[in-house]
Amino acid sequence: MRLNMSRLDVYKNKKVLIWLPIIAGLIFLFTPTYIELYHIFWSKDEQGHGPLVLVIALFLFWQKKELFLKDRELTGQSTLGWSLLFISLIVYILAKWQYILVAEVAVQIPILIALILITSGYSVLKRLWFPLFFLIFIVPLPGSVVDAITMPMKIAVSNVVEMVLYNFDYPIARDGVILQIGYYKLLVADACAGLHTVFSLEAMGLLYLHLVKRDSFLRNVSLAMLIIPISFVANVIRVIALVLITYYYGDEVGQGFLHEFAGFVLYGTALIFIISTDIFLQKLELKLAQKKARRAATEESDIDSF
Amino acid sequence: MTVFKSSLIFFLLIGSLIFSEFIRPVPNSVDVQDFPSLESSIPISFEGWHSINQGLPQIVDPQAEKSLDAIYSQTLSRIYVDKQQEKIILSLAYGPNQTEPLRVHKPEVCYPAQGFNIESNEVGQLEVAGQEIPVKFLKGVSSDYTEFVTYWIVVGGVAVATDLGFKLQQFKFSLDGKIPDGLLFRVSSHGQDAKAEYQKQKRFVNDLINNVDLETRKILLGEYSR
Repeated sequence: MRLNMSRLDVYKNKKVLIWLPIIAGLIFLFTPTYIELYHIFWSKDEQGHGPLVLVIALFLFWQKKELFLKDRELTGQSTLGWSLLFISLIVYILAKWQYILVAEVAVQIPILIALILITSGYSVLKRLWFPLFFLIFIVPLPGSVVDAITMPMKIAVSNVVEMVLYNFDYPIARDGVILQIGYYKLLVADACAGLHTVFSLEAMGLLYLHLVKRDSFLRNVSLAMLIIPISFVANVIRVIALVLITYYYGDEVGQGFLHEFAGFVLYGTALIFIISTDIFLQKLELKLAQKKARRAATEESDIDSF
Repeated sequence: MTVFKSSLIFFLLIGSLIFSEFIRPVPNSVDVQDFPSLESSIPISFEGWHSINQGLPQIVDPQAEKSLDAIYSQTLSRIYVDKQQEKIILSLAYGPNQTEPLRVHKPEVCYPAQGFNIESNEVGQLEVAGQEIPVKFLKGVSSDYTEFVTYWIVVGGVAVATDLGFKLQQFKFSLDGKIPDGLLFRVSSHGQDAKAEYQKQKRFVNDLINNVDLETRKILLGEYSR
């Protein structure tokens, strides 16, 4: 009995000895990156979802920790792993040298893939695809991409907001991305255009799909695509909320606490949309299945009657 | 998997970190600057131009202002009027570190963010005090308001107009383990006739450069520009 215990301890200790250097190395490698990410992006509103995504991803890895504690026979896969590790580390060094933070953050995904391949193999990698994929949402969007998409989105959002409020007889006028209501002029800022909110909502939507473990491919794909119009609508609602708050309570209230509140309104509406769309899709699918079953049944009875 | 292999991974990761930190250029300090004050080195009046205080109605975006503080250590924005009441807006912005996230904002990006539509965007040359400076000419339109812009960026002491020139300069500095500083020089005016506005801007820039000291001139035009 005692012998067994100590053997188990030795076994566990060995596992710790293997994993401790790898985890410590990763922490050392990416701490400076995350500090910079925090200073440049996370402390601003636009990429506010970053830390949340990191915590969720770490939690998802932690949930699957037993995968790492099993012994596996690995053949051939670690060569691929080692080469990927070397290439990724070179990219990491170049990215740091040239201050390309986007690449520096993004390269952590291939580094993790390489380490999983080396230590645990392809089968484990397959079971960890979601947390690895989820880490994409930590990567800050490159400035050029943001610039290219932001403007058309801002114009579209301002346009719809103007149309809606005009139909409700509010004294609203629009000039490009500047909305004028009553005495107030509001600039639909980059943050309001919601490129980053689309990004974080996409993250939340995909996490939701993962958590409820939807096995239907149709529902997964349609919801992933519907997230874009959903976040557009949610953004319109947020800007409308802000415009009305400013109209009724003044500029200071609109820019102060309630500005943050409007952000919560955005996330709230979007989440409700996502969940109700999913329920709708689920019902639709069920109906289709029933119809199919009924048709099959009638066909069968037709055959019977002959 | 052995302890030996995992230790090897540890040293690879740590080695990459140390090596990258070693070759990574050190950012220039923002506080300890021997960079002169733009406010005091740009004259208030010269050759008939005079800076007036009241500006055009500007839309203030507190969010934008917060992030501008992180990028620029100095900004200057003045409206000059000459004897014929011709107006020119001069905007200078100096940032000590031209890394990708902290680089000076290009007017092509700033103007649309303020509701302007960039209708034309051309690379060209501007003759300033006997030097050819690479510049960009922009035409921004916001409903019935048209603004013409001439601008260039002095990055690491060299005037550039294009993104490629900017990146090349960044890369050259990184080979020496340095990060270049950057100054955005932008003049703009409201009008209808592109030729007349650009001509007026050229006159203004030349008048300004001829009335600053040598050091300021180097800062504004770049030391090595031809």
